[in-house]
Amino acid sequence: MRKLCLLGAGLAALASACRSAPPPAPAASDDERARTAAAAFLSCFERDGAECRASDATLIPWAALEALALVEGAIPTRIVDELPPALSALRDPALVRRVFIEKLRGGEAWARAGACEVRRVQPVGARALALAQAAGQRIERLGMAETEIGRTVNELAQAAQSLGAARLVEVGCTQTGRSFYLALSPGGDDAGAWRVVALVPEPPPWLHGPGAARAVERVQLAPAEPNVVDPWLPVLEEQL
Amino acid sequence: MVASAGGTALALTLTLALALALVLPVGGAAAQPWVQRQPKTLVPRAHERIGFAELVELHARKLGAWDRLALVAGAEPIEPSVYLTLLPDRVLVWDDEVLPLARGVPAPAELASCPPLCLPHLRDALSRALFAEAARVRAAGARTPPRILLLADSRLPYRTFLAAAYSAAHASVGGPPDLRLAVRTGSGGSKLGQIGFFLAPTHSVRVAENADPLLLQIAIEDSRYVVRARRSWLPAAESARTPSAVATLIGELKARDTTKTVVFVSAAGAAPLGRVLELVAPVRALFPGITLGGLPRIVGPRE
Repeated sequence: MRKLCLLGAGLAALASACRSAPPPAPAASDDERARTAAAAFLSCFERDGAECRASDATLIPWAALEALALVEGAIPTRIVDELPPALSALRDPALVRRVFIEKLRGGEAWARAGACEVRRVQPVGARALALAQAAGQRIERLGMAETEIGRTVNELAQAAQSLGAARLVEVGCTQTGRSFYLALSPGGDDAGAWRVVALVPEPPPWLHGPGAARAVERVQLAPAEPNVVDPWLPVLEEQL
Repeated sequence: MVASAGGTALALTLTLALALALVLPVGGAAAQPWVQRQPKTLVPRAHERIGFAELVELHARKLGAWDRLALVAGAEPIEPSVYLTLLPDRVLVWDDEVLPLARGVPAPAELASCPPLCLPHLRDALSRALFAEAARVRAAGARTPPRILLLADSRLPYRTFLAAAYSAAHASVGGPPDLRLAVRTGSGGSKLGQIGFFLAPTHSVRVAENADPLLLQIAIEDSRYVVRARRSWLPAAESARTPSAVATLIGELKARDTTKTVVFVSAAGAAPLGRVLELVAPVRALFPGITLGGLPRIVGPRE
């Protein structure tokens, strides 16, 4: 009987020991990882400026979002005007990198003088993926899927799939009262590491989705010739 | 002696390091080809330009509208414009569907007198499109006013086409925008082109008392074309059976009065648009100011 009691007590002690084991630490969320990476980048950025960029950051998917937004929401005449140069700029990784470095250089002064700190972390991956999908659909709808331009847009939409976890981190600078935003995405040579892929003065316009239908506004037109018979019949009297 | 031994050791170390440097990456890559990084750049493409005409043609083909565009020889090249597409089952502004049609006819509730007849939903969509296009044109530093290009299935009833065209005309204030009709042109209709047209105003048009307008009209009836003009030496109405006969008739008028360029065309609402455009092609060579919607009320000239 005594042995049984001892065995019971032992088991109870073992069970309580198991219960009292510390719970496993919760895995850091993407928001926290992005915040940590942004804070680390910022502390380096205040000191060393643009040199703090990660050399293996994949910049093209983020840079492509502007072109994809153009495809998603612009009128076709604007697409004809603006898409080819935008795609051609994205073709040159050195140029994309140079633009990124210029943006970082532009932000150096704010960061150094402003006592900046990481504030809000906003997930933007879902919108980036939706944007990529919408751009692909519009290219299809316009019948451009089989053109070179259409194939490039689809390629960029595919590349944008890597931005599913992307975050936009607001950085507020108390001294200057200004704020800017860092876009971060996991990637690069170390797949788990978060990299800064853009620095922008304000959230990109595409973040809010395609604009809602605007109120009807009419264009005021005047006849090209002052002596025409009527605005509806823009011909001279002798032509009637 | 010591220096010589040191030099040999250094040479050996350097040789070994060089051999390792040369061999290891190659061996590593050969052993694990899957660790190669994905390319971060896009594949270069040969042709990445697109013109507006090309875009419209691709879109028309995608919608199945290309083969239904009228064939007109000698049309002008397409210029960037707001475009709307009229299909038997829907109307689109750019690539946005704005109105359903049932066999080319809008629901009665969609029609309004704007005047004379228009589709308010379409008019509002075109107003927005014109506004956006005007902003683009301004930003590009151009001074041309925005235009509207209509791509229409030639099987559509003429009345539907006219309602859409008047909707486009009412989409701006101060006067209608330049209206163009998209057609197939070139050899075998392989190219996209455009022809300009006017719409007859619903208000009276005033001309000077001493003006001598020709006021050439062509009415398209079931089996004939009726030609009228304001000339005392002409019979009240002259009829012709074919578009080429009409062209011969109006050619005589043109020969007597070469300054006249405007012709007013009317047709029964149920007539297919294609029948109207059959006539437009030969007539516009002589009278390029094609004005659809019939003759407006003209005030002023003495009889």
